[in-house]
Amino acid sequence: MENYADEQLLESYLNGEKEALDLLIKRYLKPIFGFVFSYIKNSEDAEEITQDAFFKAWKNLKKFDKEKSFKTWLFSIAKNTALDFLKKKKPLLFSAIEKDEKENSIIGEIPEPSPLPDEILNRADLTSELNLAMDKLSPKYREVIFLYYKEQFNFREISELLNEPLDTIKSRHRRAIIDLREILDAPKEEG
Amino acid sequence: MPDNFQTLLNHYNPPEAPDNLFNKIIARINKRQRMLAISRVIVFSLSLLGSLVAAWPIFSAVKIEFVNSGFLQFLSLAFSDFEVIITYWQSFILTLLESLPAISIALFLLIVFIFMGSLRFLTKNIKALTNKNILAN
Repeated sequence: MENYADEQLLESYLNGEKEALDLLIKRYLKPIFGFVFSYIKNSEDAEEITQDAFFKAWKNLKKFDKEKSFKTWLFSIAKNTALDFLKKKKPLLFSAIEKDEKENSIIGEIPEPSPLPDEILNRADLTSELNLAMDKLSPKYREVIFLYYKEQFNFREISELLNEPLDTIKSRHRRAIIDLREILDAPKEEG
Repeated sequence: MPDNFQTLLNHYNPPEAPDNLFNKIIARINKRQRMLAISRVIVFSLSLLGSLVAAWPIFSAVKIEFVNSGFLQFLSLAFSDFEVIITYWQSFILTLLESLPAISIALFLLIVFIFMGSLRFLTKNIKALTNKNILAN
């Protein structure tokens, strides 16, 4: 059963196989937690939101449209749960996230980023530098980076998941990697 | 888009989910399933009891209406005047149907349906409660 596709696991669970639900949750626990964390940047809150997201998904499993992607649907629930959490408990942060958009530039106006120099990729502490750099990105940029590069969603799926126009997602992605590069290129502060 | 951004982002490691998060999620789901099963047991027990209480007076009413409607008398003609019934079978059937106490029969069947349905869902939810691995809701 571990090799079943999401839809097969879902079907099995709805037919009474409890193990199928366990497998589905295990499959997406780390990605969903990582996604929520990329939004919230707080482990404790991300844990609570992740729990809520899976619980909401479970409550609505019977209503899930099997023609659609389960993965996209689950991430969409996680995103909405994170936003609801912020609205209730951290309204200032929620407001900042909603307003934080440098554009609405047309994607064609944003320069195509050039390839990264090897120097960046060869840095010894690249992982920790990159984690810090990602923390500095705005949440909307961070979520697109996470979904595109870590979870391998394409732009159309991200657009559907975040309920944003496709061009907005593309421009946001481009700006995100430009910003990321600037942060990585910036001289390190002497400590 | 330059390919080495994918190479770069392969180094990105958001924090891992806590070890016990999976168990917390499952526990929460199981708790909700248990609560739902308990509430269903209560509801279906009440409807089972209600249908049992209602069944007797309705059944008695059906008996009385059968007697008063003349249905039994018409039906007995099938045994006493069989040849006449054969000749006028269409009128006979119509008369039988018209004399049936349809409303009280329908009411009684509804009570039976409610009883059977309640019994079915009650046993299903009791089974779910007693089963350690609670099945899909």
